Amino acid sequence: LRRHSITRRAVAIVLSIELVFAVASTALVYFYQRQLYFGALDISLRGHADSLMGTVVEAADDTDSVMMDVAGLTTPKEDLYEVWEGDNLLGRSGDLSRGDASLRRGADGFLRLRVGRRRYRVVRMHGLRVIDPAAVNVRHEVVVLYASPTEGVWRAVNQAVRFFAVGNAVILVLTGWLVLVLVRRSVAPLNELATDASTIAANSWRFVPSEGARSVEELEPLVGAMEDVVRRLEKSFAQQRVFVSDAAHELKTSVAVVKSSIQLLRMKERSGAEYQAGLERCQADCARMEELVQRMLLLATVEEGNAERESGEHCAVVSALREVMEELETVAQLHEVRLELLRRDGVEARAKISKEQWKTVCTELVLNAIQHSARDGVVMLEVSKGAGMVRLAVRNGGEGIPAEVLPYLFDRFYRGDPSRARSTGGTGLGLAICKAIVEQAGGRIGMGCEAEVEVSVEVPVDGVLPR
Amino acid sequence: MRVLLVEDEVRLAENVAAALRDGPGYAVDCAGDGKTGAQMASDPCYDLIVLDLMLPGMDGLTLLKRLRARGVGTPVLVLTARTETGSVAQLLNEGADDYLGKPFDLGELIARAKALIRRGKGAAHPTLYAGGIEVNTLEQSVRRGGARVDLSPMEYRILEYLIHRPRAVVSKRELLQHLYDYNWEHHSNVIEAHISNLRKKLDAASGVASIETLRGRGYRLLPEDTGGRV
Repeated sequence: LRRHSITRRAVAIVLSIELVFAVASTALVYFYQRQLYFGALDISLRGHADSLMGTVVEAADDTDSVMMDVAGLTTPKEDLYEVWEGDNLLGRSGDLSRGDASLRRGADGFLRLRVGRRRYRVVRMHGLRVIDPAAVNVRHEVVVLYASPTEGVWRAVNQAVRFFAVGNAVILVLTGWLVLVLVRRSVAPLNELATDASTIAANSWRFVPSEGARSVEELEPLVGAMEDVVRRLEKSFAQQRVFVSDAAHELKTSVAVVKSSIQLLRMKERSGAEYQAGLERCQADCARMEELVQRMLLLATVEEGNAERESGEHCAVVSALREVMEELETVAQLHEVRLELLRRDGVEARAKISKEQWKTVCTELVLNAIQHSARDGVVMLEVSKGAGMVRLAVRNGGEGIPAEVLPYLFDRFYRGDPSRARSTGGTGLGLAICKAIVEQAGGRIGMGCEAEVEVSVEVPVDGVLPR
Repeated sequence: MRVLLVEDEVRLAENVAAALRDGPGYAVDCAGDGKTGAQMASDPCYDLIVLDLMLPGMDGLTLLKRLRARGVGTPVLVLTARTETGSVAQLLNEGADDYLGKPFDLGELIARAKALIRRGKGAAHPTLYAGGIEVNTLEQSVRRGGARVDLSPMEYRILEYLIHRPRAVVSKRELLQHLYDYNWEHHSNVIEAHISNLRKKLDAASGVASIETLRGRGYRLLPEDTGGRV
């Protein structure tokens, strides 16, 4: 994983874009300036060549030849020129062609030339001098070569380009610094948010994002998500704390029972039979504690993992229920209660729940119904099929449940009627375990007591998506 | 002495009640939930209330607050699984006299129960003196004029109750209510026999009358100097 900095990245992006523009604009300036200056140079070269052409006049003798009359002609000192009439040199300033005749041949135009260490721009211009056109009509082809050194022009072009380049560089540095400052400033709310978040702890769930963090539109989703997470964590921590506290109370009470049973035996001399009875009670107390611990662990396991749900296990609802009914037949007989199964439309549905968990749910519900049923009562188990769900309703027609108690029946360690729950060996965890299992499987569980007490469980049918 | 035990865990209640009966020989009544406990606790016949905090119906703390609001001054020993400083302080502030964290030691429970009953009756030392009689509540032994007097458990309990209230007239009904549990009415005819035996045993050693019978009103421990010769 490569770490990167948003600030550095932003600065780099802005600077590289700007650099490209700076280079392009400098190049543009270079070409434009060169065009401009050389255009001006060319005009001046042409002007000077024209002037030279004007100095070629008819010679004073009778040979009908031409000559140069340079009186009043001024050319810049560093400029060079040659005026030829055929191979006949009429005049020069400096040695421009240095015996290279090819230079004066060819069409009109501009050339580049190096004389010694200097670079020149040369214009070549052809002209025609006609002597006495009416009488002899002698024609003289005149070629003018005029050269100016280019270093001055280059200097001007470079100066302009340099000025531009330096300006661009300054702007580049300034922008870099400005972007850095601005990005840092706009990232500051992130740091504030981090500081705010770092104060959250298991014993302090206050998360108040600073004004700075809340005022930034881009941070809104993050702030919202964090607030949401904190709220959910706080809730689940509170639930955990209640669970731990309840569990501690149950366990301590359980230990207190075992401890006091043993201490009671030792308080005074007792007969063998008394010791025997006492030991049996201790054993029963231990067994209850063991059951409590096992159920707490089961509940914790169910609440913790979705593993089983995702394993795609499924089970045949009715046949598993029949197994449970067979297992509980003796208990039912002991309570003088009959178990009856009713299948609507003869369903044999497969539900998306592991067989083991489904049997746990069924056992808990049926056992509960038996224990809270009147003698000679009937526990009615009804399986039906709904929209994507298999429904099991357990009715025992037993004693009603006060309406104010209903919402708490699925809470951990809740006992509707403690004296009875204790006497029937309840740990107050059975319904909580059922609820956890059913909800993990994507189903629902509920209890109603309109005509009679009914617990209904719905679990998703295998192959049909829940919800 | 009579103790009210408010505890919803049946087995724990059984054990604590048995320990209080077997050890110091208290009469014990049990309540399985908060509401019943609250009703029973306002009866002045109890010398001590042992109260669990987590109760169905009404939790122990609410019960305690109501009790104190109604002006019931019976000593209360709280049994709790929560022993953090905060919750203990709250308990004591609400009027509890002592507490024991679960799982507790039965011996400690009995010792605290004894101390609370003693304090509730204004005695600081576990050995009580009155009318030349010395009752050691720890050993449950009785001496008169330096000589040891052997008493039956019931006789001892009658004397222990009387010596906690020296010079006061204690009615037969009060004795019955504090020495027996809710069945006290069934014992009304035997109490006289117990008193008579107790008197015989105490007076045999020193020859000085110890317990006075006030016809129609009750019994009283006599101060040593006013005790007439038998």
